[in-house]
Amino acid sequence: MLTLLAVTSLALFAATIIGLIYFYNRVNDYSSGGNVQINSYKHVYAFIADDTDDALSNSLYRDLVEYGKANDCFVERIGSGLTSNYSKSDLFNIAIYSKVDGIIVQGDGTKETDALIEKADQAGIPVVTVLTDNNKSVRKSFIGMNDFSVGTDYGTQILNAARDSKKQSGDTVSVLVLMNSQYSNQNTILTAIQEKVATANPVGPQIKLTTETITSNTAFSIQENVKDLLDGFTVLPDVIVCLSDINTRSVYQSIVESNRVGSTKILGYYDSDTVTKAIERGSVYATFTVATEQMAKFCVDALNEYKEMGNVSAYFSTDYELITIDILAAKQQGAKGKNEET
Amino acid sequence: MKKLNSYFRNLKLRHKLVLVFLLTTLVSLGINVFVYVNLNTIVNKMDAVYSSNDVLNSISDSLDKIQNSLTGYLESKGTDELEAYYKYSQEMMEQLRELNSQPTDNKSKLTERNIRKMTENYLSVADNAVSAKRGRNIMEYTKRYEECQQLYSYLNVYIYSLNNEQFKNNSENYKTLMASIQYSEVLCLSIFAVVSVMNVLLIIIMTGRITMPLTTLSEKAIEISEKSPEKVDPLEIRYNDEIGTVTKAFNQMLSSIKEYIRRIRAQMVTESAMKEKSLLMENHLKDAQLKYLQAQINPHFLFNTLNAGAQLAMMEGADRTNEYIRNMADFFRYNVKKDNEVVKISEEIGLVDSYIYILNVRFSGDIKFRKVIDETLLDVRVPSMMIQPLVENSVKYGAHDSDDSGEETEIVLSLYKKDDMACIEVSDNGPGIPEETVQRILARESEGNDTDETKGIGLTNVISRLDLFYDGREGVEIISSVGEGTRIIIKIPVE
Repeated sequence: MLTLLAVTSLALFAATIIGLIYFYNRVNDYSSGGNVQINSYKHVYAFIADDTDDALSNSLYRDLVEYGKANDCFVERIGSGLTSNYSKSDLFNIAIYSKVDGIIVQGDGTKETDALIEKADQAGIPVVTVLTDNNKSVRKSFIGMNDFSVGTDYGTQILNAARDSKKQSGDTVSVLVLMNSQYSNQNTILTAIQEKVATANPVGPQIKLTTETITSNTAFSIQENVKDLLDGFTVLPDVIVCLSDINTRSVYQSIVESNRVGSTKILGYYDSDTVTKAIERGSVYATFTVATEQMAKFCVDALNEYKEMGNVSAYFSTDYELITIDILAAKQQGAKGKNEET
Repeated sequence: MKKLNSYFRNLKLRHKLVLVFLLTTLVSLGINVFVYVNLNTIVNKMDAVYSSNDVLNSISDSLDKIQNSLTGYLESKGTDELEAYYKYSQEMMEQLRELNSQPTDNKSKLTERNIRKMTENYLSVADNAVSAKRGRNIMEYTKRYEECQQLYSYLNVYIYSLNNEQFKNNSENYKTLMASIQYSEVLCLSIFAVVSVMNVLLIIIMTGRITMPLTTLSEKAIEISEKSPEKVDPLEIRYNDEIGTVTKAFNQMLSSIKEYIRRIRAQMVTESAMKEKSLLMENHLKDAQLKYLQAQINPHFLFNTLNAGAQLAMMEGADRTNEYIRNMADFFRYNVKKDNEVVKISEEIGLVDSYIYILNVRFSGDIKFRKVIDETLLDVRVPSMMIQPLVENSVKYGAHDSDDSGEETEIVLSLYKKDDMACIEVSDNGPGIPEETVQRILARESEGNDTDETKGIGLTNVISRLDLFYDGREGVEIISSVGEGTRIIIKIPVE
């Protein structure tokens, strides 16, 4: 009897000890700051994009954070989560005042940005430009696609679109190139497009290239400007070339809204979800995807290398890829096959 | 564990009881203290939930004060404003230490870092503005002041944004903590319940261990009262406390009772044996006496009559008749006087002399009797009527047959010492005793078929009495074979 009681007592004692340990652990798990895993890094870099809603810059930022963490640095999207929206200039100042270890900025070729880059440089903060360059600034490196090459590929797609339009010799295929005032690299792309289009078959339809520049630089106003512009066309151009993600989405949305899908061929920029779906539906003729992972890697590596070595290569060329409905279908088929295999 | 057990066993009863209650009390106390400390930790954590908001509010207040005092100083160069500026700057530096300064992937912590760095920048720029003001460099301090304003504006937005974010997070944490506290209350109550049950069990076990020997002791006592103490095993002594002492005493008592019973039993056996022996001896003596009484036809009368005959023979000058009658009288006197007595060997030999004399008169001197006596043994004491029956036996079995053969009967009585024993030997040259008769005599079996039984006491009777008298320390030897005579040797201890 005593043995049974002793065993029971021991079991209760064990239960008490386990309960107390559990209680102690729970108490210590209650953190006033929440149970958030916090990792510290050697460097913090600021990322400044033109448009916080831009799918390309968002995708690039995700890749920057991911690659940065793996390389002992954290990339902060400076100004995000604040109760006020700041201009690129303010964000630059905030990054400088916050004494970040480096800045990754979506360049625009403007003198104002050149000055901000210089200000940062004077504060000992290296700056690299991404997607668009400020080649006259003291930025340490530019990471982006070869604009001329991109322009040539756009030109090829314009020729393909003209051929697909089934217009005869003597007909005119109108091409509208939508540009943004803040991206100086688009001029290089345009030049390459013009050069490529000039190589068109003289016996085929005539290609008429016109450009429109969207001067506003906020997402809302760009969309409004694009809509106003397109509404001004009684007959839409045969091909609309968009040289930015926001332009692509704005053009696509305006055409859908005005129920004029199919009356024009859109050549987009970047494969955001919206654009990819539009390609699937045939609403967008083709687009270019940007290798954001590669771009993020180059950005972080460039800054790390500069911090470590004091100099870095001035230009890193990143890959891009054309996406059409056929290519997309082939990719999806390939992905499906892979899934089935696994 | 063994040491602990041993220590517990050696404790006094009072100390054991104190230990039991002390142990359970300490367990309860320890758990209460543990729970109290941890609940206190939770309460402190609850207090700290909004501490990050407090810090940010303090920084925001200090920033406002610095900005106001800076503006005031740059406007009026007042010493009060400058003092206030330095004071609040100092406060701000202290407060900034509360903020994170490391690059991290946590948004709030990273914002804290930005606030800290921007504030440090702000203070640096403000110091420059103050220095420029002192140097009356209007352009410089105006420029610095504008930079300060810009930083102030950024900082306010950052602090406000972070404050909002943290308030949101903290409110969530507060809710979680509240839920946790409720959960902890249930957990604590469960622990207390378990501990209470455990304590009760501990008390039952430990008091059980303490009182168990008492129970065993009481059961043993009942067992002793219900059955023979000899069948009860002693108790195992496990404890060296008071109960251990009582158990030891109990075992001692049990052992004493067993020893006492053993002694009484042995005594009873001895007494019984002695009584039996006494009864046997008495029986044999009575038997012998009866036989003599039967044979002697009132020996007192005969003895008195013989004495009268002896006196008559003496008066008439018949010496031989006188001698004969006197010997007869001595013989019968001895029988009357010495029954049931211990006598000297010399007296026994005197009786044999009388007996032989009478027989020789009776059988016309046919019996040749010779004595070889060690006189040092004459005073050895023996039971009466021991030698005469031996001689009578020799006469009985030796004389009758020798009459027929014409050979003279010779009986030799020897008394000598051998191996510290007095040896009485009676030998004759008669026809001997058959082997089976010898064996029967030595086996103390009665010679019941002997027709002359009444004439002598009988060898068996003599040997049986010797057994009883000497407790088997004597020795009887009968060396005889047919035609070779008989030697009866009795060895008795010399005392």
